[in-house]
Amino acid sequence: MIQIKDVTKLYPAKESGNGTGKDASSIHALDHISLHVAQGEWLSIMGPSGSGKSTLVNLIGCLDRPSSGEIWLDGQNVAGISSADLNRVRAEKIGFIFQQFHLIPFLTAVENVMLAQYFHSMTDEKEAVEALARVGLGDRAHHLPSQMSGGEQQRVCIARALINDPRIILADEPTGNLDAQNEEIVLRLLREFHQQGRTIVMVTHDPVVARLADRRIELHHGKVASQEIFSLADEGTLGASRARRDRGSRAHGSARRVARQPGD
Amino acid sequence: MSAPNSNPASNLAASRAHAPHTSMFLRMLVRAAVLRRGRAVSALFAMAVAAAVSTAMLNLYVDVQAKLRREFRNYGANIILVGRDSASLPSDSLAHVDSVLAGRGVAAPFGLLVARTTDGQPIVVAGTDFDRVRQLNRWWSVSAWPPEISASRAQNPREMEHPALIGVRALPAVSRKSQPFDLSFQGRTLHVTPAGTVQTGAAEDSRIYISLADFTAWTGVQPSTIEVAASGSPEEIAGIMNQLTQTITAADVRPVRQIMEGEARVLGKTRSTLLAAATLIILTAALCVLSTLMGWVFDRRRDFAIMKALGASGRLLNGFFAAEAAVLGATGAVIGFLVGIGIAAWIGRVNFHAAVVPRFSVLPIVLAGSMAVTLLSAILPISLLRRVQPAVILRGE
Repeated sequence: MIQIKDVTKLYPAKESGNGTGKDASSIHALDHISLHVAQGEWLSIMGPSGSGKSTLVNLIGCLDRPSSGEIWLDGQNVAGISSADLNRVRAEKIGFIFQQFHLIPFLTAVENVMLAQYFHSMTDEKEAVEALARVGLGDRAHHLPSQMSGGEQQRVCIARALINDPRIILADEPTGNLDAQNEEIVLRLLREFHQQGRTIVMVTHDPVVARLADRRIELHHGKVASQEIFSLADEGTLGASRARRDRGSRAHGSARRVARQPGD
Repeated sequence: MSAPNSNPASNLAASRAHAPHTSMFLRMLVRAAVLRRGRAVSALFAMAVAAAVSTAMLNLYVDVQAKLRREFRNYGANIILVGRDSASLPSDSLAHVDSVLAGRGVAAPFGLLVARTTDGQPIVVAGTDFDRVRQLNRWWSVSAWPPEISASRAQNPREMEHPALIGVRALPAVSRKSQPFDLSFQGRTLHVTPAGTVQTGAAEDSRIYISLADFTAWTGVQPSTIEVAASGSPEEIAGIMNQLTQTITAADVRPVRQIMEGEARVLGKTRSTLLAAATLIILTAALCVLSTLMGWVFDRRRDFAIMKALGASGRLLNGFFAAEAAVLGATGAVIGFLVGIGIAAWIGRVNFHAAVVPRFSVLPIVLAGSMAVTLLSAILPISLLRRVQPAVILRGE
């Protein structure tokens, strides 16, 4: 589903001559990283600030381009396609859930959802209201973001991410700004999407949230430092997530930590 | 949510095709304008001011020529007809001039000769039509106009007093305390009663004006000069002169150059000033709009980044921003047009004592100009918009 091959992302350094002997004019946000995410898999990405988590999600989400390497989404290498094609990929294949929600402040909840429909193809207000109802916001459809709580805004963001039936959901710290009650609601929704067979890539700082995924990777200095698969029986199989889901609760599964080498 | 399906995006689009649609584009425009009305109002204000000034200037620009020409006509003749070789003009000349003018001006005949006062001093006496002179030379400072004398009454000069308009410099030589006095010409005497004085600061101050009827009855001399104040553009004036030349062949038709050249100069300068002022104000407004739109883009970078992240194309976002700018320009133009009409009317009333006629033909020009200004002002913000990197903006940099 998602194949990342030897991807490097360089950002221009704000100050040159750092004395490290590396290229002083740029910072390696991602350093020759390779990764495979199977269809229907839930991958969580952890790591300290500046380790490259958001950069990786932005590259998978076609919000940015790699400096080198290939990114294959659903059989298409998006690293070298035009901006217009990237727009189409974002509109049709990817649903974003942001930590800061990122709703358009002058549009109501339903209009924010309809906006995603509009950029995809055409709007259908009834469908958008139904999507909001599914995340428990049927009665808040015509409220502005400023009239909603953080949890409600995040659920609007989730409804917007799902409205075009995307194959990939990218969630960048989706519960980072939520209280415990709303965190539970959002995670329950993500679990439902996972059970429906969607591919989820989630950045989180919370190890408990990360354990909800099929697999967790940890980034350090733009490289995969380690990965953890939360069921021995699932390791190495593309249908890992589905198999575990069929077995029931993750609480009964075992986890194994696997040390990763750069470029592995 | 349904499970992800394998059907392409077109299937989803097809399933939505039967839904009732409202224009999302229009919704975004209206919502953005209503909920960000602070910014919208400041940009609208700048546009409305520019449109109002442009409307007022264009109205005045079109109307000022007619208004100023009317004003210039108050300052006397711009064409003069003189009998060839100092001869008198044919008696039907004035009728021909009136016929050529056809309401586009006024003409006054003048007969001039040198008479003698009772103490033998020479003095210039002019015979004219007081009603016409009054219209022709509104700028003359006259204490009281004499009544017009009919030709039949003038036949018997001794039966009545003959009212005259006395130049202020001539008055001491002919009459003390405005008493009646006699003038003689070739042995014939005319008993004249001062009716009022005239002061112009020019040769008129040394003359005595009597009615044309008295003048011809007394001297037997016909008018040798007709002064004409014709209205119209320089081309129209030239046409009138041409017609007069062809109609009255016994006369030399000459322009009064000082008046015509001065008129053209003032008109040219007035129009240039209006154009320059309008251009400066429009440029200033364009800068205001530009700075407002730049601020608008800066404020909304995050919104545009979100839209890009959701799959909006650069063209759509540019179109959305350009449409916002165009709506702003059109609304500002309509508001400004209405205000500008009012300003033009007020300026007309204050300066020309007549309202400037609202010219709705100016509206398309103001509308197109306002939209052009906003769209040109939007070019730079749109180029900034193109550079919005969603990844950078959304991570809060």
